[in-house]
Amino acid sequence: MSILPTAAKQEIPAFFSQDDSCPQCKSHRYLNSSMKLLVGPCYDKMCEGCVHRIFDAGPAPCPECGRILRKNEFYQQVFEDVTVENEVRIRARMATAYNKRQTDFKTLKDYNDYLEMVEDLTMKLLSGEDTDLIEEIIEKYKRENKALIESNLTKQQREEKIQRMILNQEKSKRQQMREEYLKQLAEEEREKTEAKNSLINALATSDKSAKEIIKTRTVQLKKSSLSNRNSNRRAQLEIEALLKSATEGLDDDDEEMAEDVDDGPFDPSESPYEPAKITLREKYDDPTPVFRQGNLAAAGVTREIHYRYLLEGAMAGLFELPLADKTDEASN
Amino acid sequence: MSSEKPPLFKQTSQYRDWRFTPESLAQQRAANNKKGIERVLQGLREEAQVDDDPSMSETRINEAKNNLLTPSEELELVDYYLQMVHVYALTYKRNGLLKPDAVNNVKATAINFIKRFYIHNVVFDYPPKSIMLTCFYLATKVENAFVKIDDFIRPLQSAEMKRGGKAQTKNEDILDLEFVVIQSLQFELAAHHPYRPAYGFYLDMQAYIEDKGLLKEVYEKTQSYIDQSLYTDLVFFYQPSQIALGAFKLAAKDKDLDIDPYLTQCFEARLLESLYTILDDIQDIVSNRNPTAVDKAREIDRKLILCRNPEKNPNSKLYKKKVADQGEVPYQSDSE
Amino acid sequence: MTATEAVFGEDINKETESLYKKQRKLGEGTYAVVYQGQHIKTGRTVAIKKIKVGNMRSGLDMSAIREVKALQELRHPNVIELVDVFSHKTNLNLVLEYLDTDLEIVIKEKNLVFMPADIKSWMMMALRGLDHCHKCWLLHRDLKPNNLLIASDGQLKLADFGLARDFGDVKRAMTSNTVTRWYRAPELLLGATNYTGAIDIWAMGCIFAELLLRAPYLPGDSDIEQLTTIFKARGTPTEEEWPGMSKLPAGFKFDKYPRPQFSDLFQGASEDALVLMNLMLTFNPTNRISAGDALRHPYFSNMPRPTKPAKLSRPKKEQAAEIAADGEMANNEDSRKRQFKDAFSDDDVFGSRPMIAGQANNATAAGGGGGGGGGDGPANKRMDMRISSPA
Repeated sequence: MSILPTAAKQEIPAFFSQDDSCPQCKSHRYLNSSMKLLVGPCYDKMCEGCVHRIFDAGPAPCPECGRILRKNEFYQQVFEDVTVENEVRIRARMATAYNKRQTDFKTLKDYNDYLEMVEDLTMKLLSGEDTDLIEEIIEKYKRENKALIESNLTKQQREEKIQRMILNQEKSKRQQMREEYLKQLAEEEREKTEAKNSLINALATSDKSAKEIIKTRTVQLKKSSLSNRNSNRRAQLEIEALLKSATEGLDDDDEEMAEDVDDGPFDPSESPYEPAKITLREKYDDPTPVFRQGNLAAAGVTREIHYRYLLEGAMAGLFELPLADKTDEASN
Repeated sequence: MSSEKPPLFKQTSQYRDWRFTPESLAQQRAANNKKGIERVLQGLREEAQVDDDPSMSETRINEAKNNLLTPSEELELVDYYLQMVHVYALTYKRNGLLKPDAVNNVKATAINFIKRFYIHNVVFDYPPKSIMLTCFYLATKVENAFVKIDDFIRPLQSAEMKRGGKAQTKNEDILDLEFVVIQSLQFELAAHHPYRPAYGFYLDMQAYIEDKGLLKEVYEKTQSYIDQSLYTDLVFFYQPSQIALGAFKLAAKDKDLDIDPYLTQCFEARLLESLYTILDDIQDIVSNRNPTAVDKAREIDRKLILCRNPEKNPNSKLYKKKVADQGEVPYQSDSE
Repeated sequence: MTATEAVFGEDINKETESLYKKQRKLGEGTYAVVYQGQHIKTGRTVAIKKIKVGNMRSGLDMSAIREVKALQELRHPNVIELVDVFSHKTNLNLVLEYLDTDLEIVIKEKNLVFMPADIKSWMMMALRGLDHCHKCWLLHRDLKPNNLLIASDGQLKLADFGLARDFGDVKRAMTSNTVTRWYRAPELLLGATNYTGAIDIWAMGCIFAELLLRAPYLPGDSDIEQLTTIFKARGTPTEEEWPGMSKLPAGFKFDKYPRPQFSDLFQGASEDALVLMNLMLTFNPTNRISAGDALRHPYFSNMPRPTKPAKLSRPKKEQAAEIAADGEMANNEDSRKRQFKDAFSDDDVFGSRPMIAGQANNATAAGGGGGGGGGDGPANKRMDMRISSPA
């Protein structure tokens, strides 16, 4: 029955010792291994069963110190030191109510004042003085700032969710990259050895002149993804170097080849801009009825063009950050 | 190998030259206002020398000093005329001069032009009413919805006559300002609006949102939030696609639809982090928009009459003298 | 932190104007005057196109607006660069990069010999420029050799965006009365009021053919004749080949011509060149190849490699001036006859483009409001080519 919200998520094991026994009912862990010892705000302990027994009907005095308590004020101990436990609990509770952020304040000073105010209240709660009064103050604050607290809570949950997603995505990305890399490495090796072997074979077995063989043996490495182009290029250069050394001293008709090699990689559709990235689906429920008439399609205006136009518009600059001010003036 | 190639939207003039931070925008407007006021007083002093009645001039200068507009008053006045753009758009649509499918673009471009105009001008030199009409007219040309000037003027004149006056607005009132306007726009005429991205999002979301009927309602509601966003300075801070998404979120909230699943499933979390902050800001600004009421606009307009810069006022003695000095045909106008 | 300074539109304009000085007149028409100019500080040579606005009844001319709007958004090595814009009194001045010749001159210059690799190079540069425009959802709508200007380093650039407009929004109707007749796509001739980049590709196909033939490929005498010319040269399309063809506004019955053997006319053209050209001249616009796909076609990656721009053949300066002068003389008389009337059509936005002006402009400098690239015929044939102003 832990009230600590974060503790539950992180599954911190509850603190316990073999000697635990409930001062009320005298049951011992030795006899009941699953006994749960709970602690109250007055630092007195009792087992879960006794808590239910004594406080189910409503607020009642603690059997040890007499302080009026409620059932939900009892919690499972996480820290060895009970005072630490209590403080952690209280601070967590304060944080759910007092969750304003620096951006909610006009000046840094206002934010600092707020933080101090919260700390004062927390200290009072910890010391145990005026607890009822403090609780009232907290309740009042919660009422007055309900909307802001909720929205900040949503923001916080969203941020946590995003953080988790980021971690997951990065993990899987790293894994993917690693697999890709290993695959590429193996491919490269294979292609190199294959090309070398076949060339050597041809040189050894055929009766054509070495020069001819080399000329006709244009290395065609598999057209794989763009990312492989680099490794293909490297492999190709290696093979060309091999060819060059093989033809050295044969004939000086290398000029033609040199020109082709000289031009190197050439992409006719090269553009100085990054292409637009969208996901185009087959069918959409489209509010524009224009396509019912036949004359649009006859002039080449297809649904695809229409969707592409709209989707590109939606994705353009979607993640672009706004301009930032050149000088950040801290108002202190 | 990372791609160092820029995406296409970064080449648009809107991205290159019309982006500001809230602070830099405010500072620019404040600096213009200050300089504008200097010029008004300078102009009045110059006119005093041309005028025959010196005591009148003293009174005029004092009147002007007591009725100068602050930068925020300038903004409020312009805001009122931005709202008028919507009214005029509907009028022209009713008269068949503006096709329904062109209305959004013409309206949004006109509003955008007016706002941009006043980043490089002050209302003391150019009162918003005429500028608004000229920007509207220019927008019909830019957005391929051209209206001949005679047809354009007619509804304006008939409205004036209905109000019991005579037909005052003339072709020249609008055409003469075309150059001033286009100069202040730095000759950059392509404006991008949130309507197209919103439509795109509506299509893209269909694969992720179960309730298609509700999504359609949300999309329809988004249009009005986009209309609202046009009056704000959002277009100078963020991209049209972001504003569209912010408007979508507002509409979705109204109709109790959660579009978060779409965002988290489609986009990388790292990118979403900053996007959420941007969307919050957009929703904030659109919801908190404060349109200028007609009385406030009238009040400011009355002040403006007293502090208008005579150097740029075709009806002032100073203007007429300057034109005569340059040896050109003086501009004769009966209109206000 | 430096304080923000006030910025007023008129001051920006004055400052821009002061950056340039006009040097000599390069050409003139009713629409614009083109000067050679210079950026005073850097010494860069520019072309300053001064558009006369004063005599337009409806204010700023649509053509000027289209051109300024389009060029401000396009930055690409194969699209003409709009360096600056300023206004002086009632004139609009476009400062453009200086380009001294164009593809029309190159084609007509008899002394110039070009190789298949040269043609490939020009086509590649033109398609790259066009692909960029289409990616920005912009149609050029007036492609012809006259409007493909060539820089001193051999780079080819698309110019004259006076008819350009954006596309993609299917709800907005457009005029079908666009593009110079000989280069006009069939869907336009059949009256389509909404179309795509395919119309520019058709024009590119015609230009491709013209480069191969060194003469215009589809020179029709009138708008009606143009369709017949096309069908005679390419065969009449069937409804099967082009579904919906009859649904287009002017889709009436035509004589059936057979599809000829293209290799007969285009002797010496490589097979892949013909294949690509035919893909660009497909009747059905949906099946017509796009600019991007055309660039990815094997024609461009096959041997021979496109000639490097610097090595492309170009006319000498005197030859260029001669051809330009011919054009201007034939037009001046006609331009005096034509009154500059307000010819904006009723429900669409096709501004009256003074087709006469700019022949000279194009020949020697950055795009003027060009008229047709005429053939080798007598002067009156050239005049017929212009798009007739809507009544």
